[in-house]
Amino acid sequence: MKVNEKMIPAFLTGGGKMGELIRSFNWSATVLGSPATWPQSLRIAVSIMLNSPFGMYIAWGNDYIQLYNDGYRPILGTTKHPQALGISTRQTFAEIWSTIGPMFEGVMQGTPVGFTDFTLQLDRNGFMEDCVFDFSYSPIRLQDGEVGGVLVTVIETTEKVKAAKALKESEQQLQFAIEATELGTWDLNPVTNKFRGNNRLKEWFGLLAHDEIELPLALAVIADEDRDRVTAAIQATLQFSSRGLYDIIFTIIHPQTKKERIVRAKGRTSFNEQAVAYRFNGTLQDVTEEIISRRLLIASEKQLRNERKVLHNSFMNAPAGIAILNGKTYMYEFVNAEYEKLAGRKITLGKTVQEQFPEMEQQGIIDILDKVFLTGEPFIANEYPAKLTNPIDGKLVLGFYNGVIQPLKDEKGNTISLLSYSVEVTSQVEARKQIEESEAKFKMLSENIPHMVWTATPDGAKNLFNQYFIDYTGLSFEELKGDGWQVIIYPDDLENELKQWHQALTTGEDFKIEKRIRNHNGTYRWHLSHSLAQKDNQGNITGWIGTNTDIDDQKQAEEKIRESESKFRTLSETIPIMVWTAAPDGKKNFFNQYFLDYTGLSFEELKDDGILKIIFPDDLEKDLQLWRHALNTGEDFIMEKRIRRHDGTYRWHVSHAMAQKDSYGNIIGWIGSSTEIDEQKKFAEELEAKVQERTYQLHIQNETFKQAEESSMQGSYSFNLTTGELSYSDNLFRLIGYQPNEFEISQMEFFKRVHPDDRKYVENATQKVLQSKSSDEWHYRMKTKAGTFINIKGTGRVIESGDEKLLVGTLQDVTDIALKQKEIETVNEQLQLQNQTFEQAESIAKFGSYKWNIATGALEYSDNLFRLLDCEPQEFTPSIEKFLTFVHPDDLQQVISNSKETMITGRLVETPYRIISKTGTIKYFRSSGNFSGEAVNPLLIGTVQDISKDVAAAEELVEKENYLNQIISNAPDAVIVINEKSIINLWNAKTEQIFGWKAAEVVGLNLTDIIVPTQHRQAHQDGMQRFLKTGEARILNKTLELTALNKKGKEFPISITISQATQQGKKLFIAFLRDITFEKRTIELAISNRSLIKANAELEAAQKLSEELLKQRDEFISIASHEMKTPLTTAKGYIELLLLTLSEENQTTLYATKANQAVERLHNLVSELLDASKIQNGQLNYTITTFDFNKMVDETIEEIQYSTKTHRIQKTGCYSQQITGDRGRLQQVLINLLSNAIKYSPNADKVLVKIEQLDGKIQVSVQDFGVGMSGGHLNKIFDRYYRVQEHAIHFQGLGIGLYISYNIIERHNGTMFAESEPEKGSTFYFTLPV
Amino acid sequence: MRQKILIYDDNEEILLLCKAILGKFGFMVETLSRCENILNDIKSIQPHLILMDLWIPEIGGEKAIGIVKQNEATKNIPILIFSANADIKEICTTLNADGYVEKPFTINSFIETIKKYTSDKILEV
Repeated sequence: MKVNEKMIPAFLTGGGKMGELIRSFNWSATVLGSPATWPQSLRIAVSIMLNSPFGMYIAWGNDYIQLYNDGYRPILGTTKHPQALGISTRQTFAEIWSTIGPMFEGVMQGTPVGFTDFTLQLDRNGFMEDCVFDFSYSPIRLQDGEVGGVLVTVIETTEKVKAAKALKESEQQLQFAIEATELGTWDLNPVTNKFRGNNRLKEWFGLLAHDEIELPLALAVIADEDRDRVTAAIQATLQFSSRGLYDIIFTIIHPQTKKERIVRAKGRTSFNEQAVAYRFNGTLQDVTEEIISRRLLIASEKQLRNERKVLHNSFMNAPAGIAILNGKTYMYEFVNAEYEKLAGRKITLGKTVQEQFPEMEQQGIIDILDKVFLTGEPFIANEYPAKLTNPIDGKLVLGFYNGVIQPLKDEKGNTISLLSYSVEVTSQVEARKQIEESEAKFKMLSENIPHMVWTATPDGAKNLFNQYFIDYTGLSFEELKGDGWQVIIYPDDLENELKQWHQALTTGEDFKIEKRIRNHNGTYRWHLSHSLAQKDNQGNITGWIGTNTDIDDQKQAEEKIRESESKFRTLSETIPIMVWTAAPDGKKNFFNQYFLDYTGLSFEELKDDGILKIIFPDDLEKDLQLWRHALNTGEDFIMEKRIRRHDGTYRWHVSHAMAQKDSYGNIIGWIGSSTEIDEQKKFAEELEAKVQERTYQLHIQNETFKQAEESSMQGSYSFNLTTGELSYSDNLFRLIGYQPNEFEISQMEFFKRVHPDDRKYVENATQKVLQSKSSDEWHYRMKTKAGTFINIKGTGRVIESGDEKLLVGTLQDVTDIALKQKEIETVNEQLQLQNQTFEQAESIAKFGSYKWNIATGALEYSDNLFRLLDCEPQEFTPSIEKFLTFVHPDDLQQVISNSKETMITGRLVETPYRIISKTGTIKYFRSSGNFSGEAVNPLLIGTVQDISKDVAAAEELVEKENYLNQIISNAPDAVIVINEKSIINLWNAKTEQIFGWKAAEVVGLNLTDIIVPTQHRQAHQDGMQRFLKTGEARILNKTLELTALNKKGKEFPISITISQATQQGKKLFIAFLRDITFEKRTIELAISNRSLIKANAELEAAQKLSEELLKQRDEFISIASHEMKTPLTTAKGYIELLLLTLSEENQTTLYATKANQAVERLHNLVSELLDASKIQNGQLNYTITTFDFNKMVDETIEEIQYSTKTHRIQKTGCYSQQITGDRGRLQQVLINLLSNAIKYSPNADKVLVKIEQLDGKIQVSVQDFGVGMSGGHLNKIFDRYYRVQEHAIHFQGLGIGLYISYNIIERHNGTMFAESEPEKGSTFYFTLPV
Repeated sequence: MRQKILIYDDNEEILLLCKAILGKFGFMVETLSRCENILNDIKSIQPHLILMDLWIPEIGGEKAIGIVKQNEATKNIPILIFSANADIKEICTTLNADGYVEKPFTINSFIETIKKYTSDKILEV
């Protein structure tokens, strides 16, 4: 709330800042209440206070509510103002209330107090401080005389007191200083030349304690050598111009003690206005020690210098870089050569480190020097890195230095210079760093490379496996360490691995090994394992490091190659083409069987270049040339050549070789083939011969004709048309058989000799010439002298000479020519015929023929040659240039060079080449030919053969092989090829997978031994034998499910389809098979599933079955009871009858016997039933004893004989020896057989028993002559409950007797069987081993 | 006139026994161990009472009884089942036989039963 100015009471006016504060203060909130209500005395006190320049304050009421003025404010410091206003003094001065509180209370009682320089500890500026005050506490009385408050007047004297204290201390200190420095004081009056001195001075000079001392007295004490100097100095000082300053050192000698003391006098002269000295005073200081020590210092410095010199000298040759740096600027005082070498620069003494090593400024070296210099502690550098400028290229080079920077101190311990001692350890550090780096790198690499890396201690204990190793094997370090790693090595590889490893540990040699390592899936993969010994400089093994690189794919590839090779061989062995392979360098390394058979040579004889032996010598050079070319270029090799067959004959072959290249195009081998083309070649040669013969004939004819022409006589004539005069040349006379001019020539004479038929023609022709006046030619016949007609060719033309007209011309005998012409016509006809035949041959044999005039270049083609080029016959004019346009670009160079060679050497080069026909078909051609004609104008006549098919066949072989390889390799099924001896020829990748056998392991072995389980081997071999013998194939071309054996000996189901092929008369079997374990399991699962689904049905079925069994049992019981009851009935009946007829003595015996029999039978039946059921449950008991067999038989027979009257039991043979068995049971058997024999022979009167001793056994037979039975029953009679139906009515019984007997005999390791014939009887046998 | 009993049983011993017993009590006894044409047998033997074993070749006792009972000429001839079968009473009812003799039997009960079905003739004995 702002107080209105106008409402301010008068007592509150003024008072500066505190006045404003007090006025604006809300007093109503305090116990004082509004100022308007304040008591008069307070008002007055406030008014006084506000207007007082001194510090005052009022503490009102028992609460000592405070009001204060500006003057008081500083006392409150910075922390108590302005809070103190309006609150209690108790609060404001809590820290001193214990002191001032009692005083305030005293004041309130009316007792004023006052103190000067009263010290109180106040907290007014944030800390406790000693404050000193002069103050008074006065009571402010109310009107009623009571004390209402305290008026405090305060003057802080803290500063004043402090100053006084300081002054006092200063004076004391001065005094102390004078005393401490032991100064003497003197004061000279220049006027009187007397001085005063203090006691010390007097003591030093040995002067009496007079107040005034004569100066000369003092001067006398000064040492003689100094006295004049001092005197002069005093005189000088007293001169105004000297400005009065005096400072001199001299020695005084005590007059009594003679003690020398070096003193320094300092003084000043005071001058008056006239520049006259009126006072000269000063001090005298004993500097004896100082001077002496300085002298000593100088001496010691000298010594130090000497020592340093010595030091420098030794430093100079030290093997370390040594420098001494002087002072705080580190000036070079000394460096040795080594230091300069380290520094890489010349050090100029006197220059600073900074100047010499500007590059070091940023590297903290100055800081280090500073630190050493300041602390005096040496700096030890350990591999301290520094980049120094290389003086040569100016580049910064990082180096490492060991050394010490040692402070050199003076005798007072102050550092005055630094000694730097350093050696460069860069190479060591780098070496170490390299090692560290390489270790780190190794670690980093080993942890990151996708290979397995391990290390081992020198004794071979593995101590590190990289992460890849851990990940790959899925085993922890703990599992792998020591010998733990051995578990991941394929068992077959472990032995070798350990052997090599132990050997390596002994020898310290590195070793490489290929082995299979198990990965975390349990799969083994091939690895190349490389172990290296780590050795120190002395060659001691410090450890081992090893890597395992996965080479499984390579291995697989190698395997594949091997496989492919083997397949190739297998295939190549079966084809009727000569096949060979060669290494990249051309050395032959394989020949198929056909090749060997064809040449009759062994592999050893043919291998490498042995094949050259069988090449026809004339073909050898070219073969080598082409082969070298192929080897150099990797181009296909193709050539026709003659190869020597086993019979010594050379036969023409077309050989073709292709380079086998890997995916990078590198040649990895060659495959070649040779196909015999001898027949074709001979045919071609024959054709050529014919052509040549024909050509020769033509030639001869031409020659003849020519000769005829040349030798023909020609005569000339001249006929003067004007005069009619005719003249003949001599030759003309001769032409017609006359002597020249033998007769008179005339036109008539001429015509007389012309053949009558031709006369008209000649006349007309002559007329025609005369009219046309051109030349003409005629043919007619003339009669010779001998009267024969000759053929004349006459020519004639008209010549006009002057007035005369002449017909001149020649006559020629062309009789021979005409004849020849006729002959030629005939020959030509024949030739034409031949040509046609030839053409036909050409077209059939795919030959074309040509004629090449090498000199003129004229070329002629046969029609078929055009056809071979897929052109119409004579479609174009053949020329070499035209021919070359057909040649395959790749072969062009070869063909051209061949052509040139042909032209130069006159020898035809018969290299096959490719052409591209008009239709774009690539064909392989082979040209051949022979030279004929004149040497200067040679003709090359020959044939061109399309050998595409031969080449294609050879190529196809390779292609097929490749194709087959691919098919077989990629076959989704396992493929096995075996021969008729079950020897494995082929085993593809899938087969390897299924059986675990690699092809290399099993090819050449018997399939039966490899995959057929032992129990089926015989069947397999029998089947094979049967097939080979009879051709009966039970398993061919069917898909069968069989059991096979894998490498681990485990049987598993396969599905197999076998087909058969015949190659070269040998049978091959090709099996495609699949592992159907999974399918089987699936089926089994399906079945088990189904059975689960059908569980209820089965349960029901089971229930039915058990019901059925129960029913059967009931049936049995019913039968049994029925059967048992019958004899029981009988027995009972007879016994009753017996009772009824007891009186009838004669009947008694009979009835008793009957009853006895029935009871006995009943007993037997019950026994049998029990026995049967016991046998069924395996509970029939045997009591084994040793007894006389014969006796047992006799007793039994006797017993049975006793019960029958109808039959006589006759026994033959005997075995009177002890046998071991159950006597009772065997007796039971015999009883059963005898009972049956009697029972089933009701019409007979005897039963035969025979005992025979056979090899190792006794045989007992019981023969009856009864009803017998048919063969069909014989094998059933020993079954339980079996009864021969035909006899069912007459012969009752359960049919279990024989069943029991059979079992008893079987139990005695004997046999039981029977022979029987219906209506003749049966014989039952049993044997017992003895 | 002595009563004639025809007994069918496949067991010769039983037949001999029955002959002995019945003979002693004054009955005429004819026995057959097979039953092929029972009507022919009856025609030739003319029995006053028939004992029929259930297990009799060829046609079996049950069928034989059926034949006799369905034939007007023979249906009044008493025919007793002669068996060891435990269910003889029920079988008797089912087959509409006149009675039964269960094996084994006592002579006393056997004769009593026989007499019962041949009562008018017994007085003569």
